[in-house]
Amino acid sequence: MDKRNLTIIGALAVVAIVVILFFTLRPKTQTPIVQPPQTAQTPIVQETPAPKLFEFLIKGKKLAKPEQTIKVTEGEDVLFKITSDEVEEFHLHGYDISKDLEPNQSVEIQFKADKTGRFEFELEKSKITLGALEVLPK
Amino acid sequence: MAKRLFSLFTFPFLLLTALKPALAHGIGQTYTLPLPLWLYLWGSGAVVFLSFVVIGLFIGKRKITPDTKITVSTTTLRIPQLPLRILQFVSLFLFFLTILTGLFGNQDPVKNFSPNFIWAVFIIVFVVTSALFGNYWQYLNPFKIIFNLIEKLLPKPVSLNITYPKSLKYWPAVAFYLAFIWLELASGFSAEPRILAFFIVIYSTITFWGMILFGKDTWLEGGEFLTVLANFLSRFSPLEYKNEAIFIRNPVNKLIDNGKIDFSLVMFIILTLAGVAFDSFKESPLFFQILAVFGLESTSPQVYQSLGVLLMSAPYLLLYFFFSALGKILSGTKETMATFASTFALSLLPISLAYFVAHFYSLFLIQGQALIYLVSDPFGIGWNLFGTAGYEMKIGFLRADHVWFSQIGLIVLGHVAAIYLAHYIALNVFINHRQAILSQYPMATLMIFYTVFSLWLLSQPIVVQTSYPTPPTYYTLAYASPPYPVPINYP
Repeated sequence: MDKRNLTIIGALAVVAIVVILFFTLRPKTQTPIVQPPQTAQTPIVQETPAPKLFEFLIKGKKLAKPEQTIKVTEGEDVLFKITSDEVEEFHLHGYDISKDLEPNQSVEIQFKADKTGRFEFELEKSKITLGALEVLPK
Repeated sequence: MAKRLFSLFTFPFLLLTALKPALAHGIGQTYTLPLPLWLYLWGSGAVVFLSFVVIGLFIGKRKITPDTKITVSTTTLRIPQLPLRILQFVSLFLFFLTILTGLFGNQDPVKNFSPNFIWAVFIIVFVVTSALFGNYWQYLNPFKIIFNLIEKLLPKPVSLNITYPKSLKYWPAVAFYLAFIWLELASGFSAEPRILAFFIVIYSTITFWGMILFGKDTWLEGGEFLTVLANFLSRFSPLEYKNEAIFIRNPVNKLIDNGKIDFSLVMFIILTLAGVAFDSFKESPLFFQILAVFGLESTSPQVYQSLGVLLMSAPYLLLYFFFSALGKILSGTKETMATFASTFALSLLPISLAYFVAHFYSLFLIQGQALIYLVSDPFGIGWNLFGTAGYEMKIGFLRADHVWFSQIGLIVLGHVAAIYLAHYIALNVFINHRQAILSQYPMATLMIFYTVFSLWLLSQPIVVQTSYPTPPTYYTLAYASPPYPVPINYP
């Protein structure tokens, strides 16, 4: 075996090691641990964790809160509570959820974040993008 | 003659100004997540590391003698005529369908064949298949097919065969390619069916006039940007078509065979890099920070994005010249820096192609599904020709982490191919082996810059761009300061 072949095999070995390292050292996305309220002694039946709550406040067709890009992890239950100061329609792309908004009335949307990706939400009537929901892979 | 020619050119423009575009929304969402930091770091690490591996493979390797130029399979394969005719018919059909649906169809971009076909299917399929299957565009180019048909029908030659000005080189194609990128990424009305159709009509008019004035092939080679693009991309394919026959060639030889290319083509290649990069860059926080420095953030997106498209290639070009100059100095060659730059430009193509595919393939897989319902109802007027009009686009199958890994894989692969090619070219160009290797350190550094920048772009958080009320006409957007605030919010 000549020197050149040795170099190639060496290089391939190093690449293989790097690839293995790459997959073993891949950080896990943190799933927030939701502790169910501990009641004394009774064995805890696996409760469904409380959905991740985002409270939306829309003023003058702009998002007053929360921040524009909100992040959840795949598989989480998500709850949007939306309050708008005028009549509108809230639309979440990708999940294709629409909800009518009445002035100063809180509207709820609950869903399971089962699709990964970046999904914008908008005011459907005036076509104004409010922000985006990022669903990170597990 | 001159007057008629003038009216032919200006007619579509006049119509264009009479339009009142609404701003497109809802088409072109790919739901792609930015690369997480850890993947960006690993990707960049792999790029630097593999660069050394490739360089290492070439050290000690003597001059490569290029293989025999054309490797013909023992029996020469002929292009089957019937399938070719059918494909040509399909090409013509799609060409006219795109224009007709754009002009007369439902103007809601989601319900119109034209923008979905052009941006989510045609351009992506065109790029990928040209790279895989070679230069089939020379047979399926609708402009060429129509022109050939007219030539057959008319007794007199259509072409005036005026001598094509030498100094024009490939500049018309560069200009049209830039216009194409502008329309797609910065115009703000790329998804408007009627405007898109008008642009296609305008471009067709110019292309036909180019063919009439300078001759069919002369104009297509120098002025039709899709032909120029196909000429570049088909070098990646082992297949080559010549005189109705199919040849099989080593793509590496095809990618380097002309060696030195004209400066206008160098610019074209730089545009392929910068154009796609701008699509990501225009959503990155850095872009908005730069706008804020120049006080442009309150102008309309059309204005600052148009500026961005025009200026994006400048840093790419300057960087390329800078490292070409370094390569020239290090290798001690007597050639000029410009010659050095022209010699190695082809080696940038893999970076460009890989980034294009990594960036756009999710658009094809997601938005391209629109064609499933649009084939049944291309005009968006309630037809259901094939019973698929009710199809709903699926998005769950494309997992964000799969997209990440494939993007990194493609970009790293493109980078390795680019470094390999540049070395291959160097070993062919330089007689002295030491010169060849020395010339490649700056080239490899440059490519690391380009590739890591591609990865960086994909890892940037996306700035939410809230739309603004529909302006009354295009003029208020272009010439007056916008009467509405354009909000910019950093994530």
